[in-house]
Amino acid sequence: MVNLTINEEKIKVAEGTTALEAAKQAGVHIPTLCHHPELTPYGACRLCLVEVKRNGRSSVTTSCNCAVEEGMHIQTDSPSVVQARRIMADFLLSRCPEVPAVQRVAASLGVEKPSFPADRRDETCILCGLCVRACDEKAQQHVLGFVGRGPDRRVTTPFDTRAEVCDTCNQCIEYCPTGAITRLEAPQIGQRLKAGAKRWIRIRQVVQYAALLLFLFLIYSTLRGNPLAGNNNIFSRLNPLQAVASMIAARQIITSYWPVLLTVGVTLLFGRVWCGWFCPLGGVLELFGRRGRKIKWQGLRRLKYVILFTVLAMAVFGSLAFMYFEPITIFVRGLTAISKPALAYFQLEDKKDFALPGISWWVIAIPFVLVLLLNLIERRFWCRYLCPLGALVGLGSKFSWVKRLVNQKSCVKCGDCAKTCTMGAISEGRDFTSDPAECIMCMDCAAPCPKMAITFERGKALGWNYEFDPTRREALATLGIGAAAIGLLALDVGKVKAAKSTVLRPPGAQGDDFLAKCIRCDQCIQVCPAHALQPVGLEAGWDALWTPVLDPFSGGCDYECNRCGQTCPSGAIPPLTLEEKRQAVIGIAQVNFDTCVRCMDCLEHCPYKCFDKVEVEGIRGVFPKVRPENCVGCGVCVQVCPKQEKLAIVVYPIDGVPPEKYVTHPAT
Amino acid sequence: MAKARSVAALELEKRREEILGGQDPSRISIKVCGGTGCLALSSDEVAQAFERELRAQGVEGSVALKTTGCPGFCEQGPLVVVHPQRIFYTHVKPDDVAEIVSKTILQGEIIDRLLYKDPSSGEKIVYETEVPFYKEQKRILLKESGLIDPREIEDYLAAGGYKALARALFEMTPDEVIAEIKQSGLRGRGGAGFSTGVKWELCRQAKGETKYIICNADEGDPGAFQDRGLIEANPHSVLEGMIIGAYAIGAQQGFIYIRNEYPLAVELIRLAVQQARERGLLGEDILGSGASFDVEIQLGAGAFVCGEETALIASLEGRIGEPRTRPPYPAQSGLWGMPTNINNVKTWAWVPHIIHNGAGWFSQMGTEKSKGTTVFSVVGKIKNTGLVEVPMGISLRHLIEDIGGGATNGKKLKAVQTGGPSGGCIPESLWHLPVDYDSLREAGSIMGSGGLIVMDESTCMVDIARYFLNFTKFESCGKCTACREGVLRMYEILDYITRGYGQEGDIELLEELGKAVKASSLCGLGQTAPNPVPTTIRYFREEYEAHVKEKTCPAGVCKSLITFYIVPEKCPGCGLCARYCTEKSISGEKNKPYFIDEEKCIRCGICREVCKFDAVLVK
Ligand SMILES: Cc1cc2nc3c(=O)[nH]c(=O)nc-3n(C[C@H](O)[C@H](O)[C@H](O)COP(=O)(O)O)c2cc1C
Repeated sequence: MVNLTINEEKIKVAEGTTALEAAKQAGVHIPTLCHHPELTPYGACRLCLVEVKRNGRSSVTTSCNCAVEEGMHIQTDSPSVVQARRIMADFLLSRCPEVPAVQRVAASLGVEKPSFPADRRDETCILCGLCVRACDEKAQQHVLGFVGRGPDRRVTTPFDTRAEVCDTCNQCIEYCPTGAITRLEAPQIGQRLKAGAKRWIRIRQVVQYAALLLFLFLIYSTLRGNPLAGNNNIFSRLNPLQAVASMIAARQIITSYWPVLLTVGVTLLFGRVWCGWFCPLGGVLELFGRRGRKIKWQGLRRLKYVILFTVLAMAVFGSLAFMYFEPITIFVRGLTAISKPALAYFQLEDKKDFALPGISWWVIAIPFVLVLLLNLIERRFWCRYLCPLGALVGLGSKFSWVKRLVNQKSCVKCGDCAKTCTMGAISEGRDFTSDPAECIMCMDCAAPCPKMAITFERGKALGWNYEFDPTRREALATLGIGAAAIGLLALDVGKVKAAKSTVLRPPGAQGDDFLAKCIRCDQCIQVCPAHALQPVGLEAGWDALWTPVLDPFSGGCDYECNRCGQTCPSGAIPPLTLEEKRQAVIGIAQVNFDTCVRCMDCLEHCPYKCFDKVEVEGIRGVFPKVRPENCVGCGVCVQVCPKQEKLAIVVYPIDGVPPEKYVTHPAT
Repeated sequence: MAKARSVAALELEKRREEILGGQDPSRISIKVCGGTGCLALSSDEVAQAFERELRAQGVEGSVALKTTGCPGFCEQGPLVVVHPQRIFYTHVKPDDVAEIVSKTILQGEIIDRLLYKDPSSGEKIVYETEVPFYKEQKRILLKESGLIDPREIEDYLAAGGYKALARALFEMTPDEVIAEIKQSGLRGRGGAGFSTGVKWELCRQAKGETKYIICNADEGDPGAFQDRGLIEANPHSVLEGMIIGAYAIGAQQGFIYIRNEYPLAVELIRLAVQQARERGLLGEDILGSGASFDVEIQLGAGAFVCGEETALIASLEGRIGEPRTRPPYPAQSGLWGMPTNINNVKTWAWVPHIIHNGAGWFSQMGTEKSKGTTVFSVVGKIKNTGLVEVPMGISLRHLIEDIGGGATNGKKLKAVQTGGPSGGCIPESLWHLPVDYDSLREAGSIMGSGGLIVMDESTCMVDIARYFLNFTKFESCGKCTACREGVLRMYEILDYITRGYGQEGDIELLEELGKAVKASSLCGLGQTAPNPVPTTIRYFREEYEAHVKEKTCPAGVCKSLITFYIVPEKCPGCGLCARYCTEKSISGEKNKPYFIDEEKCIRCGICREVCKFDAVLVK
């Protein structure tokens, strides 16, 4: 053991210890940049200067390579040392003004701004020689070395030719304190790794845009009335939020959601890949907007959990009232809003007949438009702060097998990853790690990392304690909103219950069960060839917003069509056969003899032939009259009625058929 | 402890007697300087001409002709000295040779035209020994320079060479050799001035069987050529010193690290090693003493930093020539991790003299702490430039004005830079200072390896500092931040100042940076590189201030800060300047004063140089 004094404190350290190590043992911090405990000290950066007194003689020297001696006195904070260190830090910062590692060391020594102009502002190499030593000592390849003297000094391989081992070895990368190592011109260290990382990004992009194209194709196909044997809704059926919410609300296993198991499995294996690789809305949101974290209130990310939990809490009470927050349906509705009228226009022979849908039609696109607008603030704003589906798969990702990992031994905290992150998931304050619930595994961050320190590998399996874990506050908020909403429903504020019976539902849809299953995707509306199905506004109660209703004024249910049932992913509209659908009672039509003009179009067009000709007491003439026991309320009669707007014939919900005003007799 | 001399040693002595016995002191011999300086002026052709002429005039048998090493007075080359009288001819051309042979050799006549004219007194001087440049020197290391042929080991033997070696091997133990060197007070001539005896002792005492010694002949300072001159004139003296050192330290292998830019020195030292091997002075069982030692020559690639001992060792090992932190010192862990002793060429060359004449003889010369003589290469704005050897402790003024002959063309001398690019500038007012390690250090400069650059009033001190820093900037190995970045930044500031962009505070910043770089650098290069700056600031602050504040260059050097103009009263209108001006910026009518167009003038100064009437001035 050797006795020595460090800043007036006497300590005892093992022989062969360096002054730097001794100071560390004494709890005294000395800044370094070219030092690494595993490599031979080099003494190049000159930041670890200390004043050493031995045998009565005092000198300023680097502590990293100064072996302790008996009776040595080390002063780490004498004015001359502090001043010298400051100037060294200033020199390094002036050389590499943009390198965070250097900025941090300089700032810790009180140098905020470089005093001298940089030669090249993008210079990142501080010539510490750690890579060269790693190559010599760790890898034993002796490939890297310095060439050039003075200002021309740089790290390279012999004769500036790339060495083959650099494809496989890569050991130096870990030691570089600034990330300059992978930017070296000739050696091109890490080229293979970078290419690998880029390949993954490309693969992901291909998958992502294939998914988006598939989605658009499915929408197109649906619009053309082809449900592809019930597979046009696959994005819904892969969708765990829809599945969970509708199953809870309907209190039943909805087997059509079996593909969700795939999503669950993939999520538990690979994390939030749904969002990064498959979600078509994500694919669109990925196309523009600012990367990284731009807004201050990052805690807002927890809002998505509040939305998720509220949706689920409502589901527990049998309501899917807030389901319109579901992203796939937002996208579908957004596309429906534009494409359905467009399609109708193109299909019209006489374009003059085209009537623009009303406000209540267009509002279904509002969420989609909002999501796009929010994306201008930050890329994937929706996915970061609001998406309940993202929240759900995010929660799953906290337990996923593969995670985004940052090799902290290597990371130089340059922040390049955080800048590229489309989700802003990478946290500067947490050593550039990310909450797996925020990371969508897009892998964009791996390639730009100058240290190749980011990998996607098996991580800690069970995980909580991440940056944006939902907390009690979110639970309370959920309770609050949920309780309020359920209270409103329970107290029947807005007479929602009564409102339910004022509308006609698609064929086969049954009252409460329908509302507990309908996930508001509006794909039934898309597929409906006669435009009979329409999104309802608030007429059916605020909790039924944008659920489909049959509106005979815009179309009658096609006798030959059962596609809505085929298309519905959740079975809210049951998948009836054509025969069954024809029998499904939607409502009952009634002729208004006050306004009927007796054209008999209804009688002629009714596919069910449920009209009789009658004479009405007190009114002259022969009128058509519905035989209620035969009518299913398909609304074809309404559609063909020339006095539609005078309500000459109306389809009423089954329990809402008004009594006949006049007495009638079969016509003779 | 005296051992009986071996057969080989006795034979060597016998051979020496034979050579001496065969020499006739009255025989005429012609010594033509073959040093690099004179060689550049075609002294080889002069030597060939002599050979032809002697044969043609039929006296080749009676007259000896020798090509010698550099006697130091390079200014006057090619030099020819006719012994035994030592008639001193300067600027000799091959065409002069016939006349020399026919007149001087055959008839003893002096050829006035070829004599040296003392610029101070204007008198012609006939004999070498009378030349003030030589008279004021005390030549010990350089004693044989100009006398012996460096290609002939027998010349060296005749001059008493390898006597000291025999004495060390047979009369002294290694410890006694070291004690002798220690007692003499010899300090390293490579710059730092560390006690050579102590260094040897440390290396001898270091643990390890294998030890190495190295001769540092890298000499990278611009303007310095003492080591080169010494090797080119007397390579065996260096070799003998090394063999004695190896014996004292216990090393079996030595290296001479010499720069490849010294082709003649390389050739001669190679030849010397070969001759020494042939004579049993190198190799196994030297002179039958049982001691073994051999020397390998290693060529350096001309990096200044490779003169630094740890960098030199790295280079010798085949690695990039960059220094490492000491301790461990080379004496503890040097070449390939073995104890290694490294000394300068002159240090090694001193050893035989000390062993031969004794420590007491050596320590009589010089000052209290700096013993012996030292060799300077004196260059710059003085009359006599060349290699000089003077006792430690003579004043700078004596050295510059008496030996150097004072200023050329009547200008006032201003300062002297000692120690090469990493030394400092000492102003004329301090020239009373004695030349030794310690007083130069006190004045802010260093002894270095002995370069002296004399500057007169037409030298701008800011520009000089900039010039030296430009050198060290490029010669810094770049390993440590302090030197690589610090010298670069200091250079940039100086460059700005000389270009007229100096700012308030620059001078203070330079001083601060200078201190930090000095204190923080890894090796001697960085620790001394700022030296020119603080010394010039210290002694010539007003010049800096003129640059920074008034944007003028008092010495009229910094191109961005000066304008050339023609004084009408002095200009007779000869038009010479206009003819030389490459930029056509001078115009005028014949026989009327000319004038300079400032816009076009690139400030090259040719007009001032060519003007015979001193009509071109600078402001
Ligand atoms: C930058 C630098 C250059 C040097 N160049 C030389 C040189 O050219 N020749 C030399 O003998 N010593 C040179 N030295 C000094 C050597 O490091 C070493 O001190 C010297 O060779 C020791 O020999 P000495 O004890 O005989 O002086 C240089 C030192 C430094 C820092």
